[in-house]
Amino acid sequence: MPFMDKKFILTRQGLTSLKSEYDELTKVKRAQIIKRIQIAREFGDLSENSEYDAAKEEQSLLETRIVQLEDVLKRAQIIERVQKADFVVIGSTIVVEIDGEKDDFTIVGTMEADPSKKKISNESPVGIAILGAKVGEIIEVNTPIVRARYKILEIK
Amino acid sequence: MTSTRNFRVSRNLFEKLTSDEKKALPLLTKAVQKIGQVYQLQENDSYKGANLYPYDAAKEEIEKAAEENPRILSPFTVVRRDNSRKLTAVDYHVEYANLLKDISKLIRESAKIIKNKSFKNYLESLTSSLVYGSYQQTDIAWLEIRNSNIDVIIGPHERYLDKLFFIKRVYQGNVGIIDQQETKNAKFIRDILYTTTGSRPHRVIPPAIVDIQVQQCLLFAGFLSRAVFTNQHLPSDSETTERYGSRILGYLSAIDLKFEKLIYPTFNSVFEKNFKASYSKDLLKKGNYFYALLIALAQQLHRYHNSRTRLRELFPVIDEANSVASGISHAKHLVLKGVMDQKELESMMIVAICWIFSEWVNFKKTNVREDYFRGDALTFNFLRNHGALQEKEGISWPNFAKMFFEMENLAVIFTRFLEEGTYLEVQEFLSKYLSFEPFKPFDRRLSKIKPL
Repeated sequence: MPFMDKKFILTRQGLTSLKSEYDELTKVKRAQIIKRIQIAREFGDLSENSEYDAAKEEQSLLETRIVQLEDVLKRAQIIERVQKADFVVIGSTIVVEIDGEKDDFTIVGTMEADPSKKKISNESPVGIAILGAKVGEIIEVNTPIVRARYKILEIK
Repeated sequence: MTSTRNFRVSRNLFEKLTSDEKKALPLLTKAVQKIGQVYQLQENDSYKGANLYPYDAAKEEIEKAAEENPRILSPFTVVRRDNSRKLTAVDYHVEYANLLKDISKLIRESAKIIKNKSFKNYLESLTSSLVYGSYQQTDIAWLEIRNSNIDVIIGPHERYLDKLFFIKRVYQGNVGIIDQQETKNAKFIRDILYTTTGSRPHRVIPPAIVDIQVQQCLLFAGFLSRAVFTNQHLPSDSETTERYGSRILGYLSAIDLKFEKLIYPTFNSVFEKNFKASYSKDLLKKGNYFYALLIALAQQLHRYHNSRTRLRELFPVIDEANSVASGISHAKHLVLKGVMDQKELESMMIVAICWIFSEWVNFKKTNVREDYFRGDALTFNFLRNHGALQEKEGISWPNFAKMFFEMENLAVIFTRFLEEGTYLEVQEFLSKYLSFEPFKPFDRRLSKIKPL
């Protein structure tokens, strides 16, 4: 699929959260940072003005994120809340066994992924390999360096 | 020999401090500087027991005396001979009282300035621990600090200088500014590993998830300035960590310094020319950061009951070797979950080899990190003997898949040693894999690299 045609898979909750982030950035934060830059300018000599540098850097990060969010919201594809399925789909929470230890996580679209909160992208190596798998199946996930075997214990 | 090391930090970081923190910082820096003088009284590379035991006391004599007087082997006493040549124990806070009183005064002054209640409380506790030797209370107060932008550590913490028993701790100091964004990034990685790796039967489970804090350092003093650790896991007392929790300190300034002065020059010296062209400096720097973070987390994730007493002076060797092997093998979860890509994993493994060689460079100059190098030598020889590293005009094209596979094997071996291995088993493993000979052919290539 050409990159520009790529859809961003989101739950309704994910879409709402990205929309609120977009509103916050464009309606509140953007104005705040412009004000900070104006104040810092008044401190004088821009080449030695660390507050001005920091604010400009923050503005650049903010604008990058706004552009990214606009792109995602334009190409968002909503998936409905998953009903309990007997195979793994986007939105499934699964319990697996890896290296003799249990792990559990939910497969989500890339924009909602946060592995520290057990939300794994459908485009990650484990996400790609595990979609469509059923309880009891052993899935081999192979990257050129890393190899792992996941046993599906439960699909919620 | 210097016992302090200064780092440069950006002016932006200072701007983020509150006015009381800005005011207290010079006092705390002065206190850290002075602790370097106490450390100088403890260090002596000519003797295994440094200046912590009498030079003429054999290990057996000390052990025998400790049966009668257990304070002889306390982490916080110096052993001396009295007039009848009997071994006696002198508390650190008595032995070094004059210097410690001055340091304590500086900290008390800074405590008066600081407004953050938990940080003030810690500084007040630190003041008395230096004068009265009440270390545990101070450790607990340190763990309770919330929302401070600066951090300071002063006291006896690491045991590496005691090469006789690996018991006595020596003085160190550190003052730094907490980098909130990097701390958040490190916590993200920590949370992935903690939610993935479960608990083993003998694993020490701290009461809460380990805290992690990344800081830009201003000054290292004492043992820390010699060892230049990239991270520390404190408190160093396992009874305290089991009951009250612990915190990993990531020293960004030391991570960057080591990368520039040791790791990147080592990469350029030991790897084959065509191989080197595939890895940019920025990519390796990222690999270095992942490496430093993952080994710190692995060390904390693999704490087991009794491993220190069971493995005695071999413990730090296996602990270090396990941190590297387990740290790299835990990266598997980051790759599978899409947090780390293949090139980043490769660069982390390249950096691991560079760290091993840089420890060799350090080891030839000073024995201060000897246990680290012995652990690294085990790993290097194991990888080499199992065909994961090939040599031809330098190390050419490591087989990353094989290297990763062997690192996972090593992690299983070392973890078992720490969990339930016997002293004899570990000794046997060491006799098979602990050799410095394979490093010698690289000496010419490494000749331009200066140890820190």
